[in-house]
Amino acid sequence: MMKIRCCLNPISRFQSTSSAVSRSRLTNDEIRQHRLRIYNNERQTQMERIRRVEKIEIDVEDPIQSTKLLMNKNLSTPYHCAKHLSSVLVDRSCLALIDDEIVWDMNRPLERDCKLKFLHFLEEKCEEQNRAYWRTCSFIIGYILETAFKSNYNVELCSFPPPQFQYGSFAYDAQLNIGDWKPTRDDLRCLSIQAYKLRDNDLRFERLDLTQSVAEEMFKYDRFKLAQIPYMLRLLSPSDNQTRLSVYRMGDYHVDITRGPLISSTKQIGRFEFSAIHNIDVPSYNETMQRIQALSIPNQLHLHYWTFDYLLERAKKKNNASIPTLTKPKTSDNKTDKIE
Amino acid sequence: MNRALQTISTRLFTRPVLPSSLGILPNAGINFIPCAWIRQHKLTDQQMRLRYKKLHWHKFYNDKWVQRRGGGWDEKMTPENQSFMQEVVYETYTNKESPLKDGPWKHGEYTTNPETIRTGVLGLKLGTLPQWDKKGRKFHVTLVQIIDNHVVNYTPPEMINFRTLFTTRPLRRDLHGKVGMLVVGALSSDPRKFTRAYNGLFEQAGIPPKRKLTRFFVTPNSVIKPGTPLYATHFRCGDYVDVQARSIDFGFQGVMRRYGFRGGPSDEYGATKFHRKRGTVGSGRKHKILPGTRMPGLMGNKLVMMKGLKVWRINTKYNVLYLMGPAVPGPNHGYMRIQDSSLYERKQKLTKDNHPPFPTYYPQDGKILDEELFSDDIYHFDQPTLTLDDVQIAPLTTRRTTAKTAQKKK
Repeated sequence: MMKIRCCLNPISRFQSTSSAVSRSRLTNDEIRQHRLRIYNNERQTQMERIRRVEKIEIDVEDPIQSTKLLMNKNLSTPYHCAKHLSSVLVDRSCLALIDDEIVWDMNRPLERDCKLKFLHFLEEKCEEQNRAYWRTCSFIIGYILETAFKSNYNVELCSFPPPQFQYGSFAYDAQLNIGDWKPTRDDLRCLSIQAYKLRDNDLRFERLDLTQSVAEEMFKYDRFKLAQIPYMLRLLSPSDNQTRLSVYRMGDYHVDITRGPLISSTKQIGRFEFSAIHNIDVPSYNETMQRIQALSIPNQLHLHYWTFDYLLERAKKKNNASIPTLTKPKTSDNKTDKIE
Repeated sequence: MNRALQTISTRLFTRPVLPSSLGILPNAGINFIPCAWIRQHKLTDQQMRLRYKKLHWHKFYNDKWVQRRGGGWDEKMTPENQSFMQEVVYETYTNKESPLKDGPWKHGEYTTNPETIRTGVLGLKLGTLPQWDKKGRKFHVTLVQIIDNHVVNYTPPEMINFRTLFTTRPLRRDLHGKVGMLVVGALSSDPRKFTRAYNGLFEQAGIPPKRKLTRFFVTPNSVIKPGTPLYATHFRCGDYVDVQARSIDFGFQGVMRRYGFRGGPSDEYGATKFHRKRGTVGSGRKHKILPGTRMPGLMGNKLVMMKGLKVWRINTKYNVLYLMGPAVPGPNHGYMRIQDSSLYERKQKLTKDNHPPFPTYYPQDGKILDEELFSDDIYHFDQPTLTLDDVQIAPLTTRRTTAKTAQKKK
């Protein structure tokens, strides 16, 4: 059996400066479990640091209900606030707005007294929500790529470009290690079905801020991610003494590096269809990778299949968003080109 | 229920069989969905009514075949996006070439000996108008618009099983295996109003989805390629047509309206509680009410056929037929199937040289028809006015001058 496995697995080793642990014997599943284990451990240590439960006052401004809530500092999330108010807010809100300025995840603990507003997809100004939604969907493509293929194929995730609607689709760049695989319509459909299964499971997205050492331990089997970590570290708040890396976990399934806010839960996904897989040349890593593109709309927006099919035709064209690059951050607030 | 099971069960249980001595009704065409009975048989009205009762309930389209309606919810798009999607819908169906690889199908030849049956057409009843003939006599016509008709699909005779299609016995058993089936659709519509399965029916022909569908059984020589449009000029002026449509729904009506019973006197004559009733219901010594007894019930909303309507006039711009008579079944804006008449007298006049456009009317480049086509007998107002010399008047009778009085007998 091992012989056959070697024949089917022609990996091109990327000789990087950082020590990449050999992964010829580990499957995608095992690597994923390793990441989740590290995440759980780190999360537990961070929770244990909270000695005393302090209270904070939150002023919720919502057209349905406006109240003042007394919540726990660094423990309560906007999701918990919404639960106190109504199930409509729980189901439809995807992001929270703090002090009318900062966009906050629904499952991220609140740190101070603030004004809170819930954002959903059917508002007049919903650019932030739409971008968060496509960012989440790119994240989900990463999970599907790791789990959809047979165990003798090793998929190496790289990163995903920031969501931009003018390109007609969102994407994830990865090294599929399959060779010349042209997915048929039925193959793409099978991939899309995985996303619908996630929707049924109602998984929440949780954020964690890691230091460089923990991050490198977590991604020690992912060579692309390891190379990215030094460029992704940022100071998250002025009082911080260490640069951190923001990492999100979907339910109990998948962990990935991403900066921006993600939506509340996978229940808010509506239609999700994989549209195409294109090859891209990535000079930073000296490789040819695949860009997996898809199209999705949230559950709240109910489109007729005909309209969605028309948008899907556009999504099949090659997405010209930025290719993964390893560049030092230029601007003062540490905005990188690659991942949001 | 499974169609096969349905036919088996109808055979096993109480379905009265046509006695073979009757033979086949001469006026019955293959496209005759039997409903209005014809007085050329030995059964009484009551017996005929009982026999053909369920056949009135035939539907043009049943959702059990393919779920038709879909969409229709508010898609919550910005107005700019809505108007853009509207344009996209129009653009996808204009100037669309047929995606089929092969070219146009060969046109068959019209034959009278093995009988030729042409397609029918789906029309929309618009209303009635008066018209005048060349003798100055007024008559009423019904306007029927042949709206956006296309042939959707053709099934060859080998693929058709009459037993599954006609759950009651077919009337022309000799044609079983000799007729193919054409599906004709009317009124192109937005694909976002229908389900994906229904829209898929039209993809092969390359036409926009239709709101109404119906089927016609045709002989193989009059086959038409799916995707060809059908116009009002499918018929000629002076042709005779049969029209099938659902009659106006009067709802639950009493016996006076429904069957024209005379009822009873008004209260003026002291009638107590008998003004619009049926009266007696029994029949002599039989201790039961005979099946088929006429009583109040639902009136109308059943398939009705009118045979032998003359096409007086055709408007080619809007594809409108002017059919004889104001009493074409159905309310305004009701759909109807229109076919060549199956009446014996009218079919006799069609020969190899004199027949309507076969298999259908194909517009030829360069040859533009007049907007209005008239039959020979109709008077149209472009002509010089009719004078009394043209019209024969019966001689007047002598006028009475004296009073009518009784004559004494001498």
